[in-house]
Amino acid sequence: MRTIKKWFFPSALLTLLIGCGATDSGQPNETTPTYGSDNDTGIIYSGPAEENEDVINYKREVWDVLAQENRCGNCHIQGEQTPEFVRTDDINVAYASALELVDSSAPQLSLMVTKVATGHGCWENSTTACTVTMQNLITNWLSDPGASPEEIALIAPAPSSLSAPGASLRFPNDEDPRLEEFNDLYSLLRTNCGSCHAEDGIQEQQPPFFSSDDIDVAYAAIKTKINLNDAAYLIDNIVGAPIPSSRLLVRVRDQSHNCWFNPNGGDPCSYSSTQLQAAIRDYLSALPEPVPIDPSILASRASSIEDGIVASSGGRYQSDVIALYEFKSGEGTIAHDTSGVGDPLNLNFFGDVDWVGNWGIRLNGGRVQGSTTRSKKLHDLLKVAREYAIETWIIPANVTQEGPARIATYSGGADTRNFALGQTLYSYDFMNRSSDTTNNGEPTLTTTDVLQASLQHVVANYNSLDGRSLYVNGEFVEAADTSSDSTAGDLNDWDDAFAFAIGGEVDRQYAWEGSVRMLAIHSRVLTPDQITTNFDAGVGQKYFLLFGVSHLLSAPDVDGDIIENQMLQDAFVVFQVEVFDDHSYLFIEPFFIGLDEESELASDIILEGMRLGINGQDIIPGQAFGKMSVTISGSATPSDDAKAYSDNTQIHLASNATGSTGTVIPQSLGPDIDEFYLSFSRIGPINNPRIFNTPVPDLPEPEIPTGSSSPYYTLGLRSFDEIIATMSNVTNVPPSEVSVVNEVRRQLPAVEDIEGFVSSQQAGIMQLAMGFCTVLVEGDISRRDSFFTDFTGTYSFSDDDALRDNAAAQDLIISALLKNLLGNRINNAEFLDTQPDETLSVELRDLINGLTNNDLPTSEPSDGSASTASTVIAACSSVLGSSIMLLQ
Amino acid sequence: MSGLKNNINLRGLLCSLASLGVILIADHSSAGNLEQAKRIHDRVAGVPPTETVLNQMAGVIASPPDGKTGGVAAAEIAMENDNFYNVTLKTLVTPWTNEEQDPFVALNDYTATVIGIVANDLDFRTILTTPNLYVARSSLGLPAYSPTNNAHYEALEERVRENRSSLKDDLEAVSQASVVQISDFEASGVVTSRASAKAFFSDGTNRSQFQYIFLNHMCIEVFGEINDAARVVDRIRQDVSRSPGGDSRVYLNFCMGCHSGMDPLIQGLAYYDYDNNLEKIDFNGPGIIDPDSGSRVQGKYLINSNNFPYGYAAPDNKWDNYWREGTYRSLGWDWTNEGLPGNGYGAESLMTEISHSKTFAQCHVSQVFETVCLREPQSTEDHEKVSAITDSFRNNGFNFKTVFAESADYCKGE
Repeated sequence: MRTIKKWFFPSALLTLLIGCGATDSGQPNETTPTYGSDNDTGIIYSGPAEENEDVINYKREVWDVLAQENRCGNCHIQGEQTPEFVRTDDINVAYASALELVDSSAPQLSLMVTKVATGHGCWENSTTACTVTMQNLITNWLSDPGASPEEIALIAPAPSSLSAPGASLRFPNDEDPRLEEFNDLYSLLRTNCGSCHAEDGIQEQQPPFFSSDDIDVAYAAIKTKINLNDAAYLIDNIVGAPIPSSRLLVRVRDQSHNCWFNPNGGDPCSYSSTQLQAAIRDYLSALPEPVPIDPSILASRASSIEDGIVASSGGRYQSDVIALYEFKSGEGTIAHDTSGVGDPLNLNFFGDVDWVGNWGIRLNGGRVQGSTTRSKKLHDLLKVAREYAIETWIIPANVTQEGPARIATYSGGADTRNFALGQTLYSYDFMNRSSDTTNNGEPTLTTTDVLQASLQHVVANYNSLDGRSLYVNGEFVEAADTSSDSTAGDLNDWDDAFAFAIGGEVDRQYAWEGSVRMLAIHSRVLTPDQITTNFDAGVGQKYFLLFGVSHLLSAPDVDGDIIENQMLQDAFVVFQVEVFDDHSYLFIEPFFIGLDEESELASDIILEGMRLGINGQDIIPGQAFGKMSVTISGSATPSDDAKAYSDNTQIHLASNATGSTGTVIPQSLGPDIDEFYLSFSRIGPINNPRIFNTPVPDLPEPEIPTGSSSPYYTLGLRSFDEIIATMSNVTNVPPSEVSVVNEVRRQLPAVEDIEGFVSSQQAGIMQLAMGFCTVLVEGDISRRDSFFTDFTGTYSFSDDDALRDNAAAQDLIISALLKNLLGNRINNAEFLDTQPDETLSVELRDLINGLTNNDLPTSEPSDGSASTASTVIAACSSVLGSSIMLLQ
Repeated sequence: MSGLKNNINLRGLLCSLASLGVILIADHSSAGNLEQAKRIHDRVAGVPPTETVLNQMAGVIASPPDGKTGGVAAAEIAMENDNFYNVTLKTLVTPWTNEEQDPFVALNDYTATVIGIVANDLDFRTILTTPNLYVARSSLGLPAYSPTNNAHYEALEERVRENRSSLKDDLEAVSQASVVQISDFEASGVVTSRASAKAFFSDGTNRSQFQYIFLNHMCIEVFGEINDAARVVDRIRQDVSRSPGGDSRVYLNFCMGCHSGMDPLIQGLAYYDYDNNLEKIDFNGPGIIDPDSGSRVQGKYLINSNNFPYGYAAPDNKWDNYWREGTYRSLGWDWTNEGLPGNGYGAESLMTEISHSKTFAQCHVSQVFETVCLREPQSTEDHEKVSAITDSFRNNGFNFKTVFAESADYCKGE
């Protein structure tokens, strides 16, 4: 047995966060406003004063809550039923009695907790809610401000329990046809559970829908509720195999959950569980034979969540919590307030709300809401306290919702409230009704863009001195508008008729989509240190999984086989593991540890290429330690890159600077069933390790894409700058002289694809052509005369009648245009087949005649004919702006 | 000349133009030497040839010089035209220089550098690695290159519009370190040009730079096409949510398979940023400690670290190419067998890794093919030709002009 510590990380010791639940801030606990105790329950304590501080803490945190007659105070008092831990005559005696019932190193294992967990004396309609509340009360009591977290033991599992990764049964793949035997199990469930566990259930329609009318939906749901390892007991009759633990069976057999009618008149639960067990057995019997793990893989011993050591059960500051939602029950339609303060402000599900794995709810447009009566405790306590904090772990579903979308609100409707925490796109919003704000808590305090659609810890603080502030992931966040972050005032105007809700406004407006993993209302602001503490504590249950590797540390024998003369007994690679969400696990911060004081590391060992496996198979996605390479030395003076070994010492295998310290891997069969193992590419004595080379698949031959037979154009357009350059080239006019170039450039074709040609592009081309032709004709005279050299040798551009009815003059113009713009008539003889022929000249002649005689058939009325220059510009433009230029 | 007479009748003119268009829009699929020469020139230079050049090109098509096909020799003549540089290359390269892939933006140092390397017949792969930039010849008297604005290139472009300059003749190389005014600046071709920095290093996480390098130079859209779930994920940064919106399947199925290989590569760019205030590239040289990271790594590499605190926090600019294994071995790393190790420090070695892949070469061949043939490779013959031109590209010292010449030859018409 070894002790290890976690909080003080340089230490070798791993610590479970027990006994430190209330604070680590070093600040003394201040008295929480009491509620539901002396003043409110009618129970007046008038016995001897508390003998010490711990008794005071016990009374405040536990006795005041449990002494009520509707809780433990009905029985466990003086003269009634022992243990008398809520006796009313002497708090010191009650305290002494309670001490016998708690486990300070592990509050969750306290008899007071485990007893309630059986349903004993539960004052709620949820055993889980009572259990969690009891655990919270004890954790708060046992907290010791300023104390170091207690150490907990990492115990080496017994060698007999260190099994090799199993040759696990597997469900048929989704794409495989289901086994016929599944139909019998499905039929049994559909008949007896379909009233609730189906979408068409006539009662609550309670997930999981393993009795769904859709057999595929039922199959998907049922796979996570059957433990394939039950086959060892049900089919193989293995001596010592645990009794079947399939969740389906446990609920009926052990928890008497909705057992069905026994026609024989006996115990319905015995009858139901027998039927169910037989159906599960028959189904498991029909599954394909297990595929054994590849024996050449260097695999650790296996471990599962069930084998794990609870890694944290506290560590949070919550002494002043007055409403707490941890969502641990994971079933039903009520989110229980497990603060233990006053009448619980339980929240009922409305609309589309689901439970998520490892504590939480997912809001898909629905909300959870408490009654106005129960919500009143927020009003009563916070109004007096004049301060509060809303603390939550959430995962916004997206960064597009706004309104603000209500994450949590204590309100009477969309326009009137006491407080609200909301989301607008990438920002959090905090509204608090005070004497300095509207009845809706405005102006709203809005953060800068800090919101992400991932797990975030958010704290909204308010007190009457400093006003509002917001912290995200442990850090203070500036307000987008700093004028709104100092709105203090007082809470005197709070309304006690409002209701508290999560996920939407109480009038159903402004739904917020996302997941809430935890939400707490504190009757004090959280200090920055307390916020950091709670952020560091995280959310959800965490476990340490120990993977035995002693059998891999010896050198292989000559055949490469594993030999069992272990070099280092009780050697483990340890991961902290949690269920990350409904679909994955989080594995973080692996370390190597030897738990046997007697054995020594005789030589340096190497651990390389570590991979996670699940249910006997290597996991494909999410391997974060595949490139890990760590040398551990038994020498007191290891080489620079080796880590010194000492028994009972954590040797970290990963760091943020060399690689990830954690990873997310997909779930396979669910947290109740999945079995994990590690494998290594190289492990053992550094001079002679075992080696497993992952085979490298052949690279497939590159495929030449199959040719398409679809026709394509061999022609295309000139693109924008090609058009400009072409016009410039053929006219010899620099683009810089044509002002319209910059105006129409973006209007021209951007790509050559001929099918993309549109009329607006032609309009731009036309403008451009006119621009170039205008400059050509009206710009530099020598350039113009050079272009139209034959024409200007005989005629003049200043003669407006030069072209009218003058075929010879027209020929000279047309000839120049065709020669320069058409790009044909090569060597005065050859004509390109790909260019238009000179019948085009007929079109040009018609155009010139039309313009010079003002009789174009489509022209608008004009009071005069075109000048020679204008006519030439038109003729030039008609060629330059046509497909002669455009196509290539 | 009266204003009235200058008022060309617009509708009538449009009618005439449309008429001409109908006549001329026809596909002449058969071609003789002149026609082939004309098409080659159109496609390569973007403008029609002069009669002299057309004859010259038709001549070499009819009588190819030793060791060349007629089409290649003709294309080489076409590439002597200024517009091959001023128009064709510029139009090809300009979309690479901005996120919008806008081909209309002004000439800049990215575009000029690519054109300068082609004009000087240098190894085209050095566009990503050269320590130089190409600027206008100093004899032109233009405003000097500035690391904080683009005036120098806009002035050069204006001279081109005035037909007074050509990008073929008026570009010269200067060292980037000499003009960016950052001591010990590590230059890496166009990646560290001002245009590139402004477009792709600005804000964000530098993944944008990588995304566009892959898009423009590997023809791969990393965020859509890359997905290899089997790669080790130890270098995915902390800012990548492992459960976007609370659903880890999104990460496991869509994000991880790309980030696992991309993030360790992008680390090579960890010392670069773009200063939006100064409007210039920002580089953490030796001895510079970024206040947000405590190292030379730009703070942007550590943003949103609480999205997944167990992710990777880059301590330096060491990059590793995880895609040397797995599905993306097929990208053809170290194609010319130079013994590149697949890892290194900084941008220049990273860009060498990328530009020396077969995919880099093939991507650019495909782009040229499309520019010259006016279509993506379609038929089996097209794809085989692209493959052959890619091999030829390598065998000719990665001279980009050979790609144009061989593509033009292939698409010159029957």
